[in-house]
Amino acid sequence: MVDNSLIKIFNFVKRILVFRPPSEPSRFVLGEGADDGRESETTGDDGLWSAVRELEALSRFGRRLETTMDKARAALTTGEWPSQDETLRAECAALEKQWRELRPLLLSYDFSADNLTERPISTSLEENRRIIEALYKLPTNKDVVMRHITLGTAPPLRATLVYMEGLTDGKFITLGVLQPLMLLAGGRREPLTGEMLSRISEEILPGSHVKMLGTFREVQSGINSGDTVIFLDGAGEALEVETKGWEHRGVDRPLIEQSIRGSQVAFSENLRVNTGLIRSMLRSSDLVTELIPVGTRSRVSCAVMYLNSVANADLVAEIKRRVSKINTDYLNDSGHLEQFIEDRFILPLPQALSTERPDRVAVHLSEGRVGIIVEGSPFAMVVPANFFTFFHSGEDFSLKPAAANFLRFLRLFGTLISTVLPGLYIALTYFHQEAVPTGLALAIAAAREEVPFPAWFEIFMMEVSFELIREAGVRIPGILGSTIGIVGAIILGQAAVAAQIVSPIIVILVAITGLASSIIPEFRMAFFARLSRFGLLLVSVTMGLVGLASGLLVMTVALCSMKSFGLPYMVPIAPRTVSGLDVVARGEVWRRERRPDPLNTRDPSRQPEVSREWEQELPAGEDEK
Amino acid sequence: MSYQPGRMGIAEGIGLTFMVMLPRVFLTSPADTIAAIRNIAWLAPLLNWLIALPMFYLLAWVMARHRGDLYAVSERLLGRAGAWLLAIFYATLFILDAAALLRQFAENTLLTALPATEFRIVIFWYILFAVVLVYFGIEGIARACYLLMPFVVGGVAAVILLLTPFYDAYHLVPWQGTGLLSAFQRGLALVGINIGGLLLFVLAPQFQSPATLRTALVYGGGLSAVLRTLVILCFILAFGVAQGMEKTLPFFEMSRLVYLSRYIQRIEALFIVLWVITGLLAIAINLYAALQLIARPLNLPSLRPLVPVIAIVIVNIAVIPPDLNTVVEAGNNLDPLLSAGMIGGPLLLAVAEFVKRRRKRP
Amino acid sequence: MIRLTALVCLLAALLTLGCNGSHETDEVSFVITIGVDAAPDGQLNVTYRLSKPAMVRGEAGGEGGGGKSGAEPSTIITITAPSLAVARDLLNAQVARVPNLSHVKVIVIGEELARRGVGEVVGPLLRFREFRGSMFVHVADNTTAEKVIRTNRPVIESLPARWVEGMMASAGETGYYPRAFLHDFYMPMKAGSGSPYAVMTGLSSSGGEARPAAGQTAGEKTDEFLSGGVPVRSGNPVLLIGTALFRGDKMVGKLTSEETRMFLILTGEFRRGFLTIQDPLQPASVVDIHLRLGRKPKIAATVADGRPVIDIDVMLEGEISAISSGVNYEARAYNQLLEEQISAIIRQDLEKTIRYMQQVGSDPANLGKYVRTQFRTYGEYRDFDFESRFPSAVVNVKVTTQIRRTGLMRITSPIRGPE
Repeated sequence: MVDNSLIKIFNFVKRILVFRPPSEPSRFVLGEGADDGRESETTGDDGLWSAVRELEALSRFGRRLETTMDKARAALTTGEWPSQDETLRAECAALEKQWRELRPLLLSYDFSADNLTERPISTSLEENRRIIEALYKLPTNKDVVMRHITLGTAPPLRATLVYMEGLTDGKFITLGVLQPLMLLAGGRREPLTGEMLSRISEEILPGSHVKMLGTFREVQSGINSGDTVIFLDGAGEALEVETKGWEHRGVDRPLIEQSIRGSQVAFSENLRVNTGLIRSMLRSSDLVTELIPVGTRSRVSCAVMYLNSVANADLVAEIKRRVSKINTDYLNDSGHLEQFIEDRFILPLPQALSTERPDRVAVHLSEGRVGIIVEGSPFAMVVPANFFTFFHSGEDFSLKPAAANFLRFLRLFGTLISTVLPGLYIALTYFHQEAVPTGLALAIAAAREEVPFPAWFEIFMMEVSFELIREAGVRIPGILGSTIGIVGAIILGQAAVAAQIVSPIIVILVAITGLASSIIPEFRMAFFARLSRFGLLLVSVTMGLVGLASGLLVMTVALCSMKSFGLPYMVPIAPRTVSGLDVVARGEVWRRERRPDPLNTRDPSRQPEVSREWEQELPAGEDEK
Repeated sequence: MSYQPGRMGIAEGIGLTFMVMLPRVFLTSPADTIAAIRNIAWLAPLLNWLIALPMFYLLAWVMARHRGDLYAVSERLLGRAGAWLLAIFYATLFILDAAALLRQFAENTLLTALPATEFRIVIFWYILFAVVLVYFGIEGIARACYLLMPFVVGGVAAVILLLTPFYDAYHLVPWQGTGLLSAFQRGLALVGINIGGLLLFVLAPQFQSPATLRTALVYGGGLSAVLRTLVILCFILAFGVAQGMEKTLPFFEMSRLVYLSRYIQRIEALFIVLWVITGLLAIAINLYAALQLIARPLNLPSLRPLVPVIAIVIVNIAVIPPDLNTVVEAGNNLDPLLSAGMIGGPLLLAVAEFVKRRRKRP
Repeated sequence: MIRLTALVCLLAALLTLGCNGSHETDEVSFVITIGVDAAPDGQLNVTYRLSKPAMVRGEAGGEGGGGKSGAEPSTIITITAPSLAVARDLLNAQVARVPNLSHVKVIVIGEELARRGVGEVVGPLLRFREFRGSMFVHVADNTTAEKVIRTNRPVIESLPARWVEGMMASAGETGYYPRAFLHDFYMPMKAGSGSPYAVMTGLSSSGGEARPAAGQTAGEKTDEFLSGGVPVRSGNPVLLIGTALFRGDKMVGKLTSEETRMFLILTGEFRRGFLTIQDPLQPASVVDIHLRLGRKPKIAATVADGRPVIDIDVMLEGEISAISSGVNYEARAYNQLLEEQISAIIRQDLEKTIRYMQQVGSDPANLGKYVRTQFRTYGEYRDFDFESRFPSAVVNVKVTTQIRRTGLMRITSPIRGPE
């Protein structure tokens, strides 16, 4: 083609006139694949594959038998028989074991597709490797490392190490697992027969946690949690060496529950670090930590902690029962777990205390409650909780009673305000104008004179925009945070009033309620206050103070009939019990002789009548006289 | 919610008795009493409490000798037919009481808090919330009663204290009113106000022991009686007898009158809140008691399906009277019946118990 | 969850149907004052002072209000109707908002109506829920309520409501007018003793010259006033002074400023006030005493020969606030002279006031209640009928005075004259 200007023009015109579909990449559509449902797994195809796998296993066994027999024949013919006697015996024993595993019935069961995890560990190293490869989709999956080594024993022993890259401490594997196995074991001239594995774990491996595993379920959970699993040829079990060493956030200052006094440590994502933090604050041999794995697809460890000599045994048993009887595939947070184990109730109130402060957990444990920590979650749960627990903060007991009580009453007052105020305002201005002082009534009326909306809509609108600001404040990236303040304060507050869309009194009202609900230490309780505010607003709009009072009454009755893990929610006020001087108000520290009565602890007394024993004695330096 | 809705103790008992005995003080009853016995009206609540107390003790004495609730005990003492009759009688009383309370509270809501609202909506509102409360079960109601008790007492006390500038002690003289005898008669006639206390015996198995019941009745009922006495006393102090007789809602008038300064005045709002809370709780408790008394003889496994039915019955009874005066009159006519229940039932059971023991001994 | 949604829907339905009787604040208008006057044919002239919220804002807002600041914060409407209820409905026919009477501070009754009888006006007041016993009752002195309301221009307060409340709150400062609630007005109408009374409100003397209502008691230097005679020149022409006395529901007399004090001393509500007396030693000069009640007066009553005998024992405390003569009244010896002088004046005044009350047959201080203790039952007391016997009652008055303090000066040095 001649590239002259005429053709260029022609092509240009052609490009304009002639439609050509734009060259798009062909789109990917996530369809309902054939093997999406459960049914497809049990098609006839699958049976065929397991038969193939069975045959392969049998032929592998045959080859192994053949090589062993060759070896034996060579030894016999060359006359090296005595020297190789031990080796050949061991090999024959291994073959015998493998043959027992390959009995047809077991075989067909073991090789059916979904049962890989339930299989016991085979004596054949080859088999074990194949199973691991199948389980972890090797070699596609690059996280799992299989390291084949030979132990320098006489006769040499083949072994395979399996571990997860990223969860393990590579240096430790080199020095603490590979080195002893490859060098130290080599020093032994006697063969590792009989209790081979236990001898290795007892004599060779220096790691702190070494465990024997029997099934691939255990093998998987070991590998998935960062341990190294060692398979030895000819052994029907595997060794697990703890080599955990993944990167995690260090122990940090509390971000959510800040305090002016009290400890400044918060939980992190690492379960054992968290349990360690609690234990470091509550150094008692009575403190029991039980690990319960939850989840079928990812086994997440949940630690249940309690003081054995204090906590009510039924409470502990019930919590363990609930945690262990959860059938779900994946659990990622303590808040997630809470919903699985709490009682069902109509009001969305928190039933367990959630805290990031180990000191709070320690205090509650010492009172006889139970702590639950979920692996990977920096928040511990403490159960059972009552309504008033959520208004306490960690430092309440570091302050003198007067100060702490002032704060506690302030918080309760704030809660009351934040739930009731909008409803009360509406009730008064709609139905009971006589209850407002004349000056205020006129001021409210004056402020509303130019506003084009009904008052309830004003409040509703402002409350919703306040909730928007709040939610936006949480979701917005930190760098942009200041914009929210500007939008909230200037545009919504100032401009809305200036434009006479809302009256200034409503802005004040909403600001106060917002402020008051932020005073509640527990976020979820504050959330409940925010939600119930709308409910009370609705009943107030409908029936004025009558509506407000009936709404509050129903809420109270509901609260009173609620329970958290067997503990009445409004305890110790309704039902009335001995409170141990720590409910709404708290008493002097040295006068709190009893643990909270409703917990029915094993040891109800906290300290003797006289806990300030020094007061009974003479001051230092005076006893000489 | 079944026959074992929970475990309750002294505190819950006190709350229940207090709330179920109190609400009449917010209605026309004090003015009625003043009209009947004039200056000495304040003595009537104390008297009727003092008459009711031995009855409660008598019943507690009978209950202490048997296990189970009121129905079980009366079945043992009076036979199945007797127990049926007694249960139906008491259930009727509780239903009538609930209906009377419902109607009066609804009417007075129109009179005081929501003058422009439709009557039907108000009565529907009250019964709806009472039913919701009953659905939560008696345990929750009882605990809420106990929890709210200080607020109710505090509210009444606030009104009483804030009215101090209006008090004139000379309103109480001549102190005998229409005479001591008539005061005593009035006290006897009104003894039925305390019938709510019988609820505790209906629910007896949920309480720890008859001793718990006794303590709860003495303190809960006593507190409520003291409060009723105080309100009538202060009402006379502030309004005098002649004006006091005129009022439909004495306590409402008291809260209306409050004027301490430009800022502390007109606290009807407080009154409305107090009043809705006690009224709703009392209606709910009465409803629950009636349900329990109906369900027990019939051996029903759960109360819940019965709740709307009885609630509708109560509403229908409540709307029968054509006007408020008829309601108040009907309420007054109900009083002797309640009093009969209050005195007759315990006496009957006590006599039966006595006779039975006598017969057993020889 | 479904139940909850159902409930919310139900409430929303109730709400939108609008039959719950709620009113937005811009749908109501607050009445601050009601005036009731007699009109021909037994009709009533009812005057309402309604507040205008928008104007209130203009006044209070300052820069926001702009041109509104000159506007009145309230408006006055007068309606002629056979009853208060009809008047309220007629008011609604004119004003686009629902009149709300729950903020009425005061009800002003014209003198003519008051003398005709207010039973049928006051009775309904306490039956309707928007009125309450803690409203104040005023009687227009020698004029109509409408005139009083229309001429009332508070000088300092922007809101008329504030003026009324402020005036009533400061009633105790002088004792020239009582603090009369509707409750206090209504109760004696029904009770077996006492008589209704109300604050008198009126217009000050237009010329500004003093026209005392009664002569001075011997030894006293203060004039007694009714509203028409008070020498006030500028400011608010409406003032509160004196007490209107009722018998049953009819007004029968007026107490002057000084008599009102005596009345308040009897009820124990007299808090403080200045008394100017003649100097006992130098009759040309005066002494100012700041008086207060030492305790509530002790009043006891008995019945002798069917006549009530009432013993009144008043104790006063005083503080010297001015001695123009320079006599050393701070000293104990002279002090007593002063005390005797005060006691004598107050006793005379008291006796005069009580005599006047007996004369018109009105017992606002409720002396009758002390007789109650003589009876056992309500019936006996009612049969005694104190009201008809009050004019013939024997009243013994005893007054003692204590000069407790001498002010901030402990001795008066003489002023150096030219000599």
